[in-house]
Amino acid sequence: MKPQRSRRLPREAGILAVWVAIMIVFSSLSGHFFTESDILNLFLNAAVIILLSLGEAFVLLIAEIDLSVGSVLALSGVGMAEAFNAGFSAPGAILVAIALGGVVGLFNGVVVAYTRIPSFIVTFASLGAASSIPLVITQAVPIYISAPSFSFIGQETIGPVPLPLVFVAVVFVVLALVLARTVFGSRVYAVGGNREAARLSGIRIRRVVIWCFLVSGLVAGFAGAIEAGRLSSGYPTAGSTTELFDAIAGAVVGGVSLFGGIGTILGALIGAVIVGTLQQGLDVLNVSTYWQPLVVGVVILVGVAVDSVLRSGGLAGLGDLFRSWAALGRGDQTTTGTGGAPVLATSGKVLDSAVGQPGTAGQEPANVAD
Amino acid sequence: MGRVSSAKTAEPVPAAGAAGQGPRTPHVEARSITKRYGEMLALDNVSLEVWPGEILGLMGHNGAGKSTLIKILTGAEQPTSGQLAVAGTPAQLRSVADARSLGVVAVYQELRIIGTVSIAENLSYPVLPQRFGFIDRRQLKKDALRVLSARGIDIDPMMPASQLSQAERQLVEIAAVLSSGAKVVLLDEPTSSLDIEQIERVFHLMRSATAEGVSFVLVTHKVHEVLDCADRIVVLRDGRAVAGGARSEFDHERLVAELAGSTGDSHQSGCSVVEPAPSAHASEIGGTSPAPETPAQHSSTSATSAPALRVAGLVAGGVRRADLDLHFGEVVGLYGVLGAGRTAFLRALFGVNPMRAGEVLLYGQPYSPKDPADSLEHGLYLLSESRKVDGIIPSLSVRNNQVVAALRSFRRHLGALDRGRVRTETDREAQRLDIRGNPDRPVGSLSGGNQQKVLFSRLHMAGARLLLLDEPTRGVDVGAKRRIYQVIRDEAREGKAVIVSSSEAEEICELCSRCYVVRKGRLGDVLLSGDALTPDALRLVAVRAEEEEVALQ
Repeated sequence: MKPQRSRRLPREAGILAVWVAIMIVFSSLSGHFFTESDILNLFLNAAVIILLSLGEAFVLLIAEIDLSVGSVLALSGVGMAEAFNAGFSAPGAILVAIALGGVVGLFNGVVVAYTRIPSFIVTFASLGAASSIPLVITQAVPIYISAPSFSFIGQETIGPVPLPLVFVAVVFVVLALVLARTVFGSRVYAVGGNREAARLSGIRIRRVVIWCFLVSGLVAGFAGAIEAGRLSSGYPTAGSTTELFDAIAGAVVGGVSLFGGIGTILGALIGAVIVGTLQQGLDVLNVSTYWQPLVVGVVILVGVAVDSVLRSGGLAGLGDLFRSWAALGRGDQTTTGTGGAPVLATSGKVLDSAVGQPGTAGQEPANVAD
Repeated sequence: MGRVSSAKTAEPVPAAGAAGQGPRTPHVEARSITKRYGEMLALDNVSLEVWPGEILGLMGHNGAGKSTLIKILTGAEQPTSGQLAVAGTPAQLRSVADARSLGVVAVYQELRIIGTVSIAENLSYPVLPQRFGFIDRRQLKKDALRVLSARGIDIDPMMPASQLSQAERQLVEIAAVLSSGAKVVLLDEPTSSLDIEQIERVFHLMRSATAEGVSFVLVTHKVHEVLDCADRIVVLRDGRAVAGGARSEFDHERLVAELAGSTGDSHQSGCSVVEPAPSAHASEIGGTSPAPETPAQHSSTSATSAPALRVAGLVAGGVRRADLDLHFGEVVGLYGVLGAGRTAFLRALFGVNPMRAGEVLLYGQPYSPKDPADSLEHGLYLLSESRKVDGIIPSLSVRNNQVVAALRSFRRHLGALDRGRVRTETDREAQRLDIRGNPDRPVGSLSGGNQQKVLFSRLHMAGARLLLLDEPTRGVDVGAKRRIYQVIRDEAREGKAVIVSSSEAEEICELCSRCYVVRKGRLGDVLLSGDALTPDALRLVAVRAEEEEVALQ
């Protein structure tokens, strides 16, 4: 009953408020924040990060991670340029870019689903592959393409709205609907929330895992195409700086839990916008680019800290936290968790169930020990 | 009291220390201990003494109160009422550390040995010998060798503890406890994972230590071990000490009867052998007087119809052989101690763990499940024994938890989820099961009983016809328990075939028309039904079966 208040408001509202606050701070500090980079421009510069965050959210939601999204930008961008040079039409080349991302995602998904290798390792390997291959193919020389049809996807506008933002909007709507309104989306949340329970509920875990990595790869491939269009070239070193970092940060700041099962596409969008805003705001304020990763790092830390507090029942969870500390101090060993930090707030309920059956309470000394 | 050495100094137990305290003062005395957990009375006015240099066998079934009593004696829990005295002085044990400083220590089944560091370090924790701020490895080894050799344990103390066998771990743990100056060592089921030879080593160590005045409390449900090893015996049943006395006052028959709570020995007619298993000694089992209350009968129609499920010779991890018949409309029980193989059997049947051999006929068709999804499509459903581990999905709302096993049936065009129907059907289910709580809040916000009802709603919505219920009322309050019993009966009345696996004999008798007794991975030798199916009979058979198993070896 107690945490009810903190849950009434959707979490996205809070994240949105954070963004607004950041905007206010920057415009008051610089004075020309809104003029120099108006909102559309801000979004345009953040478009690639937003797309990567949206895809990454699917993977984070099932408590996995995809480190390859940044390097997929290079792979798909170079692939798109090579395809265009080989005679593909612009739309055909874009499809090649998306497909390349899909291949990487499929590889990640299949390996993670069918082996016990952690996704951190699997996608770290594919990160290496996806960043090496374009360098090898191009010998690190960007493939410049002057044809306007190539850069159409990145540079065209519809009225005042840049085309990349239209694509971002479309991807956002599709992914948000998939997660919130489909059977597949429900399965993603179930798998992320408790994989064993989902398995016993008849959900085929491997399929869900593969699909989530595939989504992440496809979206990253599409982002690579947009990046290539904006730069009018296939850049073999695209995505090799902070893009991966920013994408994960965006999703996490937006409330997508690294522990899986919690978060929305809307949250990931706002989180990515926050990360983009921070970077551009720091640019406008002439903060050295050397400092910028530090700021983003601090934002991730704060985001995750807030996430784990909310996950353990909001601010009411803090009360439980203190209570369990107090209990530990008294040597009261019955307040135990079931395996990790997120259960702190439910410790009261663990207690309930242990108390319900004194005969079985004794069979869990392993829990008591932690 | 002053003689009890502190936990830090690793001096050997003084050989004559106990004698100096006089033979008439018990090491530990518990008087009129009562422990309540909410409505549950775990211990009811239990008194016991532990005399210097004795081995006290503390016996009882699951839930008899053994574990609670150990926890109270070692300060892990406080009694609701009653007094404790250590070495003749009234003592309040507020923590495990309190009890330890007075020389009362428990060694648990799950041993606290860290496998990745050396045995010597394990023995030395929490304080390692240091020299110039570095760990003094020579001193460490010397200390460890002294502790081990004092107990006749010949093991290199510098090897990683992970290389110890289960029995050696047990020995090392006891040696460590003794070296820390313990006067009373409580051993919780120390032999559960040891073979006979290893058990003998542990008992030998215990006997040699009693010569120094150290006392042991051996907590077990194995009758023959207590008869072999203990000097005195106390039997707990339903939270009360129902019998106690010197070893010589007990024989096998009496001990088994005290454990099961019946002293009669008349012949039993309803106890039958399902199938002549290789070890057909099971046919001898039985022999308790018919209980006054007859178990509830729910399935009058089942006897004639073809079986919904027939299992013959199933072998899987933790299951040595399982034979079982199950009809639509009936509730069949699986009774056995923890670890008897009930859960392993159900999980194999549901495709969680692989089957190695045997035949399963589902609705008359051969069946071997690939995975749980496959089983679910065939109309099976497993309610797992641990709600928190693989039952509820805490981050999801109550609604989504209810519907998660039935998502497929709420699919509309383009894979969209029919959220309106989810809403109406989960509401209806919540009403049917009396689930209290906001359906749109995470399921973690509900009480244990309501969470369990959510899981029952999940299995109902999944449309399963064959329900495998593993400990269906574990950790729920009395009200929810009653409701869940009602729900299980309703499922059977609707024609579902139900297996209820439980370590509570009363629960089995309340729900089931027949019950298989499961022990040591074998299921199907013993089947109780009709008037023979009483809680006492179940417990008696479970104990007897285990004893005969030992006798055969």
